[in-house]
Amino acid sequence: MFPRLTAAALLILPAFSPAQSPDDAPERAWKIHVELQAITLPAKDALALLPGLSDEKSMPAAWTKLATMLSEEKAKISAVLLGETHGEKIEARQGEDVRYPSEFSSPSPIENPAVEKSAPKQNLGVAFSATAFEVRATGVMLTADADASTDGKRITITATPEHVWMLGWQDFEVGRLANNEKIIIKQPRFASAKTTGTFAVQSGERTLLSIHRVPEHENEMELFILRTWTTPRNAAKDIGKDAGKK
Amino acid sequence: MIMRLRWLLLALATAAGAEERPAPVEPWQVRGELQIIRLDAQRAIPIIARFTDDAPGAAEELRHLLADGTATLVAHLIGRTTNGDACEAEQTRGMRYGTEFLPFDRGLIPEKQSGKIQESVHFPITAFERMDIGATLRFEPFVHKGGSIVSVLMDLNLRDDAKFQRLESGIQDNGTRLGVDLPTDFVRRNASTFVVHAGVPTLIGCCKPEGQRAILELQVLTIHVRLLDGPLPKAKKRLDPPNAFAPRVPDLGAPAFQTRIELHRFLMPEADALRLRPALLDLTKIDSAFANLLDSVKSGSCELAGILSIPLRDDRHGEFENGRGQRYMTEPSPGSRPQTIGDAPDIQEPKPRSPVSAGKEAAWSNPVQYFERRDVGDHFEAETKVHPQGELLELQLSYSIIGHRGFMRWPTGAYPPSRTAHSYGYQPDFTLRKSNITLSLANRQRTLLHFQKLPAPDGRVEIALIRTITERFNPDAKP
Repeated sequence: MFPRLTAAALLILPAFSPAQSPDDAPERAWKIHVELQAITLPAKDALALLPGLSDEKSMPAAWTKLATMLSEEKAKISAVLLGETHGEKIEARQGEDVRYPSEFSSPSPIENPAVEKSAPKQNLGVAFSATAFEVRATGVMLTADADASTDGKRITITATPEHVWMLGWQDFEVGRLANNEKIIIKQPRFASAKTTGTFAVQSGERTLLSIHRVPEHENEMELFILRTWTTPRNAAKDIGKDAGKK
Repeated sequence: MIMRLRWLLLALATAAGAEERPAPVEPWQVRGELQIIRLDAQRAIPIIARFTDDAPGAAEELRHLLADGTATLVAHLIGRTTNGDACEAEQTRGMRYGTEFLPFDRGLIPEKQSGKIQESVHFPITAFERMDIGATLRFEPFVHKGGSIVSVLMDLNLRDDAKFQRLESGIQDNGTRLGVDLPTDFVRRNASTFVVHAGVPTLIGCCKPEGQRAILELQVLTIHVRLLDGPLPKAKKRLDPPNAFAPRVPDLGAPAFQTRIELHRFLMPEADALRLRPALLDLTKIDSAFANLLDSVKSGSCELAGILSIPLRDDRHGEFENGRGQRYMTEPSPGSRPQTIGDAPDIQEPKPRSPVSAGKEAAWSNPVQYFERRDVGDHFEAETKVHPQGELLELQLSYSIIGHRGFMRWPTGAYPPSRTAHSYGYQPDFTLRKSNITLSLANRQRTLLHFQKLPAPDGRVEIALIRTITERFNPDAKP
């Protein structure tokens, strides 16, 4: 009976206390830095490095090997994204937006404006106008929410790294000429590798978040390696920054 | 004020159920690595069997096969999360396909090379959709006390490159049949709750992917756990659980049993199957009959139609699919002459075939505008209830095997009426075998699940054998 009452009392209290405003939130003493490296290397090398990269204890040695491969150009960096936060969401991206048509109208004739109005109409062809477009962000992107422990040694992070590739255009047949020549419209082909998770790391640790094949390059794989660390927040300077934002 | 009242009611409701709240979740950090591996069926069958009793040895064997190129790594998915929270990983390619089509029209269009105005027919796609090809993994782990075993609630979706199938939607004057292209996608799904030993690779699924004759696919999951010293900051957000139908894993409590379900389906000529039937019905001879069936697969006189080996936590539900999405037309419109766009010449009555008249007669439209998709292949649902001693269990099984024999067609009109060319309507021809049963099975005892003759024209007999292997857990064991 008593535990029930205690639980009820604890939960009732906030209902009658004044609401907490965002300004009352505890001030964070640490800045959190994140660095996402997307690295491509031959699939055979990636699979050989995988056991070392997967485990936090063996990661430093595996990373040294990978760094050597990078310096010898056996591995390549596709992107490096850096972010810093003391509580806000981090969004970083390197790439471009691809805009493409997604809906089309019914076909309508294209008339020749050079022909006089009195003359019989002469159609130059048929148009399938695009009536709606979509936009897809391509490239490497990182979204993260992170918070540090009071001593700054541990970080809990929710991270979503993603790489979107545009692979090309796909033809769709929408008509035929009398000689059977095809009339086509094109639609884009994309590929994506993405992972989302909430986990905790020690400050300064590197973490392997994903290993995946590079689309249309079956012998190559890409690694997402996230490094997360904290630095003490310079109160005077950073509070000044916050004031500017407000 | 209303908000505060709501708080109060919520608080009272929570207090009333306080005793039922689960124990606090220990802050284990979890890393799950899932490998999707394909290899030749002859090599895969013994490895699948080895995973039951010697998982590390089987995983090592697979690692060697991957290294020497005998096996192919289809995907390697990594998910990182905190105990009791979900995570997801995906590697996909988006494939676009038309979903809405207009009936045929005819018009004029300049020819690419000469610029000469030509008559044409159009069957515009007015809307597209995207289908993700590849692997998507979503899981929620719960590390039991001590960190040696982990309950996992998982939803794995795999989709292979789709093949486009052309559905006829009209016929041109010159006899060319026109059509719209719709994708047939090959899918596998594994949605279940199971228990794994931390750090030990576990075969969580295997199948013969639809469209592959002699290749098997293995899904191997390894869960690693670690604890960080000191208190951790709280995560700001949580992902939804992988399956809406299942409770979150922390609410399940410690597991007592888990059962691995092994299912083999073989196809063989009727006479051979009838000869083998007495041995299959005799529990003392069924294992040697099973060995004979595997030998027949090797020699080619029998086909392995399907295979499944999955762990399932006691008293939990699991769903497994392996098949393809078959699309077909649902509301065929009557065939008609195409509409004329703009000032293209009116459609003429049929004339003797000539290059000049070909364009004027244009085409016969048999519009394909509405579609449905049906899952073809195997769908399997299971739930187990192990008796307290672990030697007997009740297995609730619901499975369906849907086949697609092709399309039936019938003439919907003659075009032009004076000629022999016909336009056709098409409807799919599906076969269905379905069963809902509850079996009482002894631990490790193989049993005949079904013995069915396939519909003509195949005519072979399908033999399905099932075996369950129960494992008892000690949740307090040290890792």
